[in-house]
Order: sequence, then C-alpha cells, then structure tokens
Amino acid sequence: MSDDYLWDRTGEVDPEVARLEGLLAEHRYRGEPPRGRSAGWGRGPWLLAALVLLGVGVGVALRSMRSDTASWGLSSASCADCSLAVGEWLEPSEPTRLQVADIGHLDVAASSRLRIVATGVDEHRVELERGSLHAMVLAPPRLLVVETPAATAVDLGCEYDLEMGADGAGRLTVTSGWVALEGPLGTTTVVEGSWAPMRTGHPPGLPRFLSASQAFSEAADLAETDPAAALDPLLRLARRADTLTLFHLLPRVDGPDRERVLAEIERLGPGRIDRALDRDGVLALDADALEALLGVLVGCCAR
Amino acid sequence: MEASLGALLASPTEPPSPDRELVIRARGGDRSAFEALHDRYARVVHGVLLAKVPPGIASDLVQDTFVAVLERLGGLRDEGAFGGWVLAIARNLATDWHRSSRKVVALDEVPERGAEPRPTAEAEQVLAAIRALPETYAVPLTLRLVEGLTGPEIAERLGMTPGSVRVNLHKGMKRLREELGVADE
Repeated sequence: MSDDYLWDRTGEVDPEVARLEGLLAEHRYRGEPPRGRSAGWGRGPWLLAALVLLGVGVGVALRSMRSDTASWGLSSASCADCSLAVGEWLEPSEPTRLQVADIGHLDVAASSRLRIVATGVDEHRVELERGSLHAMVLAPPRLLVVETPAATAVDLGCEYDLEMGADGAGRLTVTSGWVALEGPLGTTTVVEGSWAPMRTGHPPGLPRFLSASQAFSEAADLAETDPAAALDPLLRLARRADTLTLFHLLPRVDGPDRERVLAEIERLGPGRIDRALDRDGVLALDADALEALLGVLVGCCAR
Repeated sequence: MEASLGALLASPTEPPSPDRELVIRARGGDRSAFEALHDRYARVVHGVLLAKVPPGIASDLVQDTFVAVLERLGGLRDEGAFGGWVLAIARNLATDWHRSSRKVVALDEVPERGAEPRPTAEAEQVLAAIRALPETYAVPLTLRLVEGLTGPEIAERLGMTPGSVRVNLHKGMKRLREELGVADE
C-alpha cells in the first residue's frame, strides 16, 4: 500500500493509520493562547501583579516548609544522633551519613574531609576537600552543590558518587538523574549511567558512559590534552549512546572539526537537526541551542 | 519506496512563511498576531512535547512555552526563525521538567492535570510506544496522528524538507506497527 494517506490523507485510506488517528484524537491540543503583558493587551499589569503576589506567597510557603538549620544530622556506627555545624570540618574514621536538611543525604567515606559551607532554602553547599561521598537528593535542581578542588558538582535532581584524591584528581559517577560539573574553565553535564574525570586546574573531563569501550574512554582522556589527535578515534569508535560524549567535544574543537563532530552526532543520533534545533546555533556554541541539543540526545540516545 | 523518497529529499521546497510579519506585529502589541502565531504553532509545540512528556504535562508546558514567548519575543533577532525558536523553548522546558521530576515521580506515574479526560488504556499504550521511538520518528508521528497535521504542514512548521519528513513518517510508522504488533501493509 502507498503511504499517501499517511503523508497527506490522499489516496487509499490506510486502516491502521485511520484507527490510530481516531484513537489519539482526544489528545489533540485545543488550548487557548495565554494572556500576556504586551503593550495594549489590557490585563498585563494585573497579571504581573498576581504573578508577583503568587511568587511571594509560594516563597513564604517554601520558607516555612523547609528547615533552615545551621547544622545537619549526622550518624555513624559510633554516633547515632550527632550533628555537623556550618563551617565545621568532618573527618570521619568510619562511614558516616550526613542528612542534607530535608532534601536527601550524603554518605561520606572514612578518611574524607568535608564541611558544610552554607545551608538555606535556596541552596545547600558543601566542600569536599578529599575522599568520597555518595549523594542522594530528592529536590528541585541546583539545591545541593558540592565544591571540590577540581570542580563543583551541581545536583540536578539525582544520585551520584563523587571522589576526590589528595593529588587533585577526581571522578563523578551519576547513577540517577543529571549532575552539572562546573569549573572556572568549563562545564560538563553528566547524565545517568555515565561518569566524568576531573583534575584541579583543568576543565571537567569528557563524560562517557560506564558501558563505553576501553578504547573510546582512552580517546576521551586524550581529548583533554590533545583534542585534535583524539578526534579520529572518538568518531570511529562512538556508539549511539556516545553522542553524549561527542556533544561535549563540540566546544573543544573548531571549524571543520566541529562540523565533523556534529555530523557524526546527527548520523548516530537524531538525524539532521535542521532549523528545529538551530544547527547554526549549535555550531556557534550558542547556549540555548546546545541545551536543546543535549535534551534531544538524552531523549534519543542515552540508553 | 526508498528511491522515490530519496528523490524528494533532493528537492526541498521553501514556501513563504507568514511568521516574520506576525512576529513583528505581535512584538508591537498586536494581540491578534500573537493569537495567529499560537494557532500556527500550538499544536506543533504540543506534538513535540507529547513525544517527550506525558499528556497532562505536555498541555501545561504548551502554556508555559507561549508565556515564555510573550516574555522573550522582543529578544528574537530573526523573526523568520520563530518556528525553530519556539520549539527550542518547548524542548528546554521538557528538559527542565525531566530534570526536576527525576527520582520524584516516574514518568508513567505522573497524574493527569487539568480538565483533560484520562486517556484510554490503548491510547496510553500507543502514546508510550511513540515516545519510545527515536525523536526523529516520534515527533512527526505525533504531529500526524495526534495533532492531525499533514506531512507538508509538518515540514513547513518544523523547517524541514518534505522529503525528510516523509521518510521519517514512513519509517516511524513502520517501527510503530512493529511495536504494536500490527502487520505492515
């Protein structure tokens, strides 16, 4: 049967297509355009005022709901009901659980060194000088921030392991959700099932999936010091899921090399992204365009 | 079939878009122009969102998308790029939703919001099957089967060639039939 009916409803009716059209029609969008605050539309100031009042109300409600204490609960085999105050260093000799206000917890390994930098309704900030921790957070994005000498891990709603060696090298492994690994020299988004290396004085490393081949991971390491030399092996060895790694390679290469990387991402992943995803914006490293592409890659390929 | 579709890919058409004029008028405070943009893109935005998030969430995010359009329209440099721009906003909102909802509630457990009727079990199953497809297939299929757009309309709104949309519809429908256990025609 021709696919003309699927294309533009001409030709012989495809019974399965017609059945699905009928079945799914109830989900068709029928909403009205929102009222806005553009000049001359009349209701703008009132809507704006209502939104401001709503925001204030929600803010007050959140403030009253969330604990804003200056210390967190702490428990270990030898201390069931202890606490850690803001600014106080924790250097446990045994595995220790730190309760992060009311949003989750940190399991801190023995011999780590960690302190609470700040805790409040907008952000809970911790410094991990050395050692390792396992973070589990049930909260909106960006509420838990863990600083290390190499990079800052910003939670985007997830569970992860963070290791920081005394030599300035570390590693972030995400088991659920997303984490942004931010440093003065760049940012890496690490998604569920992947990890990224980090090193003091360097931008966060290329994230790669735990399932990536050894050869691919070695090429990703090489990209930290010599992106041009790493390009060919990365492009040759990449699988569909590895488009997330290639995505982070985009800002590390220029001109035709960046085109090659994007073309390989398209070939392995969503296909030609065209205007719907602002291809030119991606090549120009526009933040919104990159953000949109990352969302698409996570949707299509991170499995 | 593949050969004829390939020929279509090689001859893209670029119909004139009314977006540029509508954006300029909407930016100047013309409510009817904004409504016209909404009429042209609301179902497209909804279809793109429906390929990424559950139905009740998709409807809410359409509203959020057009609220963002109202707020940011003055910053859109190329009025003719409105389509790609509004879809990028929608995708970002879907991404934000996924980020903020992870570990809080599983996708299939999201309660319906608003006045929408709860979908039938079969419709739910078909939508889940479409969402599981690569986005390249899921978006045009959603726009065709749910939103009722034709292939040429999908191509025009997404800024893609008719040929590539036709290929994606064809391959996506083939994959969907396989997922649903329906014999290919």
